[in-house]
Amino acid sequence: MKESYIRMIQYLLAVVIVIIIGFHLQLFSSLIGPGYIHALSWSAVAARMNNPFYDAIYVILLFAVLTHGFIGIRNVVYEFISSQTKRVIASWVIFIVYIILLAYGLAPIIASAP
Amino acid sequence: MPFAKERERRYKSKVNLLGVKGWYGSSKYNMERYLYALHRITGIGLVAFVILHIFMMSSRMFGESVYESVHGMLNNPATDLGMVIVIAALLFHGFNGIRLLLNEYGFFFVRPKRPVYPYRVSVKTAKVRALTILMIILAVILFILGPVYEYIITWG
Repeated sequence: MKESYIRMIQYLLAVVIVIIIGFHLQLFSSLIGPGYIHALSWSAVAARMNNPFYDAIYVILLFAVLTHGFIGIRNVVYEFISSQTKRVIASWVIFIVYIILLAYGLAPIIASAP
Repeated sequence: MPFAKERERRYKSKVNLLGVKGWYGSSKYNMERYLYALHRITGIGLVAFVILHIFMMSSRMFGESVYESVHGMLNNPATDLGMVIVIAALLFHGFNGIRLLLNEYGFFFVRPKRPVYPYRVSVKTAKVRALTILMIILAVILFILGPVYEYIITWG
């Protein structure tokens, strides 16, 4: 994939993250949401997990954050590697770690989906 | 070797000679350059937190008792202070990211001028600096109303 496309994906995902993470974080505010202690209680977490709307939000957030983050890590790694072969190897390692984390993050969402 | 390839090889062999020091290691850097370094550092920290967060939150797959024991272990002032720092990093990264996106697409910049001594950056306007300061102020306000307020009412 062209580097310019990867950069564009990172920018688009940044916009998605800014919007969705605002919604995610308001749950932990007592001023505009249920508050930190209540939002982390088992009953609140279980209720959110049984709600398809929250499941969809978490799937999008997980995908957006991991993709944005690992593209960023790849950019940093590239600054320290000049060899093309090593860059390809580093990209593959980062991609495999990304896929494992994505699968591990999706598992509880799918397992608890209604 | 063709000239273009030789030039590219020489360029690549000198990529980031200063390493991490090069992110913040010059007294000649302006505020935006330091914000760039901090954007990198907070970005790496946030990726580390996301990985930890995925492992923590997946504990709910194993039922209420496992979830409660994991969260009981983390429910203390020290780890919550860590969360306040994470949110601070997130707010900085987010607002600085919005600023970078606006700058990337040329908002508030003007047409570049011919470089003449004393070689000031010609494309930047007062609006660019105002945007930077506005983003910092918004991040600080949300930081106080969000994690700092929650920490105080929880542990204060």
